[in-house]
Amino acid sequence: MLRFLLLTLTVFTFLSFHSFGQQISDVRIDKKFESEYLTDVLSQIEENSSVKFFYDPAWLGNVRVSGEYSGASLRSALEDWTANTRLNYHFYDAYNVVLYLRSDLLSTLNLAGLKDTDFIVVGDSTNAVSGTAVSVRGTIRNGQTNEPLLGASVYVDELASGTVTNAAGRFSLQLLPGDYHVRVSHVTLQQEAKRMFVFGPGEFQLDLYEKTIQLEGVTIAGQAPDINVKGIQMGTVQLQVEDVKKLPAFLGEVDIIKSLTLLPGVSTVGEGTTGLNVRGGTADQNLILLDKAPVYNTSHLFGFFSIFSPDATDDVTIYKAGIPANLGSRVSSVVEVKQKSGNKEKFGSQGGIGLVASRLMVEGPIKEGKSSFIVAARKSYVNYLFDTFIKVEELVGNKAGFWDLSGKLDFSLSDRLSLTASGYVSKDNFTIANESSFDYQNGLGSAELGYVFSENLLGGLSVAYSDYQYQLGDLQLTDPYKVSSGVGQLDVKADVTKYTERQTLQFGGGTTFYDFKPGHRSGINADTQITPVALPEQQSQESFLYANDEINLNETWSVMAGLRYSMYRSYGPADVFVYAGERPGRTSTLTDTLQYSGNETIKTYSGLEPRLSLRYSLDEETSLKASYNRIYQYIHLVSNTTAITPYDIWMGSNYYLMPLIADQYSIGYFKNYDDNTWETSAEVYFKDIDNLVDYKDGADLVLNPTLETELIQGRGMAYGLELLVKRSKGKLNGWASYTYSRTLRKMEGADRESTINKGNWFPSYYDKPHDLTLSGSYKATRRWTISSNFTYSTGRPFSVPENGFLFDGVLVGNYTERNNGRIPDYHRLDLAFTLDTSLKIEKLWESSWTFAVYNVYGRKNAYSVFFKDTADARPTAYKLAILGAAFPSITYNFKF
Amino acid sequence: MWMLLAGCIDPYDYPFKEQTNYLVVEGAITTQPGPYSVTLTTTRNIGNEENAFKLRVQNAKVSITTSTGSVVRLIDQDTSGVYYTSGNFRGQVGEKYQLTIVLENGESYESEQVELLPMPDIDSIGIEYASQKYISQANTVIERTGFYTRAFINDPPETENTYLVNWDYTYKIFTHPELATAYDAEGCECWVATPKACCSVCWVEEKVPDFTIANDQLNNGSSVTQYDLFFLPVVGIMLYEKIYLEVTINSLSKDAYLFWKSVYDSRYGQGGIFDSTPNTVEANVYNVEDKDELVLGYFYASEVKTISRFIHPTDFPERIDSDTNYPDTCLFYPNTTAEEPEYWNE
Repeated sequence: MLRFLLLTLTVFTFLSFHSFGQQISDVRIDKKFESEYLTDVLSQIEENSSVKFFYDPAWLGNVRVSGEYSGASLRSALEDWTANTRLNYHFYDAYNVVLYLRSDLLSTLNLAGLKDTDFIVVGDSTNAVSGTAVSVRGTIRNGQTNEPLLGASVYVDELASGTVTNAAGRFSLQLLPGDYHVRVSHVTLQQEAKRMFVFGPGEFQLDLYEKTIQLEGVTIAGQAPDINVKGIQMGTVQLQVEDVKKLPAFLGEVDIIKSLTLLPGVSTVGEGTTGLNVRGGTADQNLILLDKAPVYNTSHLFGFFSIFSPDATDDVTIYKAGIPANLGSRVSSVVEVKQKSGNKEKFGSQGGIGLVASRLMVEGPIKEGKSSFIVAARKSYVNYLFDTFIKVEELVGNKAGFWDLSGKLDFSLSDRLSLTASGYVSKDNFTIANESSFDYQNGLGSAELGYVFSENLLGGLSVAYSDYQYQLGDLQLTDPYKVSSGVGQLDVKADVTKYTERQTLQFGGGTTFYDFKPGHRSGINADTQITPVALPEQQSQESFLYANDEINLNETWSVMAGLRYSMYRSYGPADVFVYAGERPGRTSTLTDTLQYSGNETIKTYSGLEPRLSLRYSLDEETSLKASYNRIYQYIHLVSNTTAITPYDIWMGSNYYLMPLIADQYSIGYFKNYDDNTWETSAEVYFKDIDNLVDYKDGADLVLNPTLETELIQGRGMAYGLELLVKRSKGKLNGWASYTYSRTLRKMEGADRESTINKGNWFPSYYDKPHDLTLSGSYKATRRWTISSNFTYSTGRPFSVPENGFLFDGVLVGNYTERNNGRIPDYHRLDLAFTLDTSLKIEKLWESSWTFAVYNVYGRKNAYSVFFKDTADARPTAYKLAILGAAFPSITYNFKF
Repeated sequence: MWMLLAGCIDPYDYPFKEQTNYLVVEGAITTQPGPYSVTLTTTRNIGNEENAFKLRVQNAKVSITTSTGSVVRLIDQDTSGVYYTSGNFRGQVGEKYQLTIVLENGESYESEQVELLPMPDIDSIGIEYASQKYISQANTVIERTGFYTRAFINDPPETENTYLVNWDYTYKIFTHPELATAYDAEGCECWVATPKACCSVCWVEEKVPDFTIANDQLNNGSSVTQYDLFFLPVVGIMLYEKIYLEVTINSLSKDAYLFWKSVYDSRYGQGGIFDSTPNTVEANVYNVEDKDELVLGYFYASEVKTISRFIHPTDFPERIDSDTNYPDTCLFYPNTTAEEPEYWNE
């Protein structure tokens, strides 16, 4: 009411100041504005023309104007200047312009019960268009950093459709003028739901804020609340690091990768192991990308902690099925870990102090509003604890430590061009005195250039580099030695994305150069007697072209169709051994050595990878989805141990080793209840993998120049049912998931040594049919959050001796079949209590304490079961438990 | 680290299910004096010790054919399933041997021809004082000190050499028989002094059941190759005078080595993260009619060489308390003799 009075006053005032001379239609703006106050700009126009502006200065208070104009009309300029404000303008006559707050003229609408922050007005309400669709455009920003948000969803309830923002945070919708409910959401931020009154073409800007200020509990998988039903993706989950931070973590160290194992269809071999098994795939079948750079080892200290610093990470997305054509190279999943961009407006810092490690992140603008940096570092002090506080005699000389350092630079080079560069380095050391040592280093870097050709056309060009080196030391010997191995790759990739009203078309291509270092042995001591051995490095190149189109056919159907063509070649210099017989066998004889010179092609492989996803909406809250994808994988991790270990060797497909080819079919039913408070889904999948790599019995893989004689390739099959019930709103939220899955393989070679289990299907070592996860959190008070996980899974298979035989007094196990038994079932309960110490929205220093207990009831979950005939006990099976107790921890996190 | 994280190894009663009994062959021809034995048994159900005595395979016809054409019959004298050559048959370096078995039921088996490879000369045994930590059956970490041992062998650099190693040791101990006491149950019902004249000095002859295997994968190429062997734990009483260490090394073919490695892993493997998954190495003995029948065990031939050395208290940098403080005859110690062995003053 007050506003209405003010407006009335203004109208009366301008009547008495009628001017003559240059009128509105004559005004041309020829000027470059750099963050000038709109009040000043308007005064300038008044000085240079007869045009007068009428407004309450309080409304324009801090509205600023930027941009370059040459000959722009006053109408178009005002359109711009008021676009991101709540101001509107009205040409009262040829000389006078009235500026007003939009809501004031909406008094004719029934806005009872609405606060003015609850709605958005688009277009000129005094000059409403009717009957024809108008363009509604806008920008969605992160309110805390003022950065444009990529991938924010703008969803119009009445149309049951929407769009997503591009890299500039911009979107465009075609709507008939009318009254709508629009929901704007983004994975990391609090959703905004607004009434939207569309009177004509126009724009709005909306800022989203972090969720932490809300009196709600943890939300896992942000995005739009109904993305599971409305989106075309299936088998795809995004986890927010802010949410992962609230889950109970082992020794208080937030682990982004481990949190994925709480999702249906994702598991690990056991505690303290690196690598994920996604829908029946091995650990090397996951492409894990940090920004654009692939990560070969995602863990510190063998998988107890992930290498990604939680303070420098935004979110992680896993694609288990329906993988779009722009992604590939690994047959089971793609995991995208996104590093945070620094704040372009102000400096900030966050960090944490934990039992095992401490971390610090600093971010801020380089040039305010234009560019930013973020640097995060983490360092463990396990060694220091060993040496200073624990002083356990047994641990003297043992070492376990890691550090990592990551950073990202973000430049807005112009309105259209952006450049980001990110880097990551880490180092791990683990030494058991006089026994063994394991060191490894990750080095990753990527740079990405983004170009906005037009509002609906985006281009991206990226270069990424990854280098993983690892050294295994044998210190038991009087003459210790180490074996060093590694893999490196360089990627170049270009993408173009075109957004239209109903389609998102993406196409592009790229190439990767691999360099495999299969092993190099050298003595550690100066006077070593160890004969140095170095297996030759292997080189190869993988390239691809793709096109992917996501089409919303109508309100019920949408389809995503893609095609990827991948090609691979391994090239020299290299020597390839030729064996008598069809396949190289241990006893087969070397008949020839083929010599390839530098860059000479040894072998090529290629294939088409079709991808297809369909979504059919049964109603607002229910949909059916189906997807199919074929993926080629050209690189392999060769291993005869259960977990990823330093004995493993990365190698590319070559003269003998063929690429994996996987087909996955999945269908799912998705239904939400109670305004998306409850999400439910059921997905089934079937996966068929060709050329799965396995090893022969007793294979010797380390430093073996004729590795091809130890390997076999066969078929893999995986299928499963994944059920999920999730509550993502309210004080109590979380999810329950149950997975029934099997993963089997069949290795039937030409002879006995290349046949496993008589050529029958047998379970993979990570086959765990039943998997149940309950994960929940309860916001008990404004300060306290309690969260808990419970997981149960069937014990994984292991090889059980059928019987044994005595030889030289030792009872030796007779292993007639591989993976014919199961270790005991796994179950574990974790609890965490998080105390937020500050609750103000505009807080300078935020901090929280997390108290967690991992493995609350101290179950000695088996890592492995093995048969052994010790000299001083009855020959029997033994169970190795890696964590045999409850592990409490306390972590202090801060942010300012 | 695993210990720090309360990692632990516990016995676990796994219900092993035996489906088939397989023939097991254990036999070796060496250059040491015979007779040599070939033991025929069958596999046994793990955890079920009752069937241990039903496993011998009796009444088989066992013979060994040499590459020079002679055939040696092996006799099971006491129907224990152990078949012996005659005492005068002796293995020769360079000769090849093939084992033939005909079971009571008529099934016949043959081994591959195994060559008796030469055992190169052992130059010496080296020792290095060290401490070793290990995890006991009670899941506690125990530290012990002693010596890492290594062999220097003059083996040919151009070939890959593989060996089987056994060792025994003898040491002299000192006790106090003059302080012996006995309980007088008839009289005072108390402990009374019963000094004895014998024996305050004994030799403990430790027959070590352990074995190890060695290969020159790491350092082939030198004319004298160094092989790490085993850790010998030492306590003070063993160094009353000195320790006599005798190391026996057998030449092994590559295939026999791989078999012995599976035996080694069965006893010393840990089942840990880094351990490769276990597997069975099939015997080099086949059913003549059915090559696919699984036969276990091994038949191999070795030249055997032995080397010995002494370890003196001066080699051991710790303060030595060599007195057992045992108030009785040293003969009460296990594996002892009061007679000085002939090698003691070599």
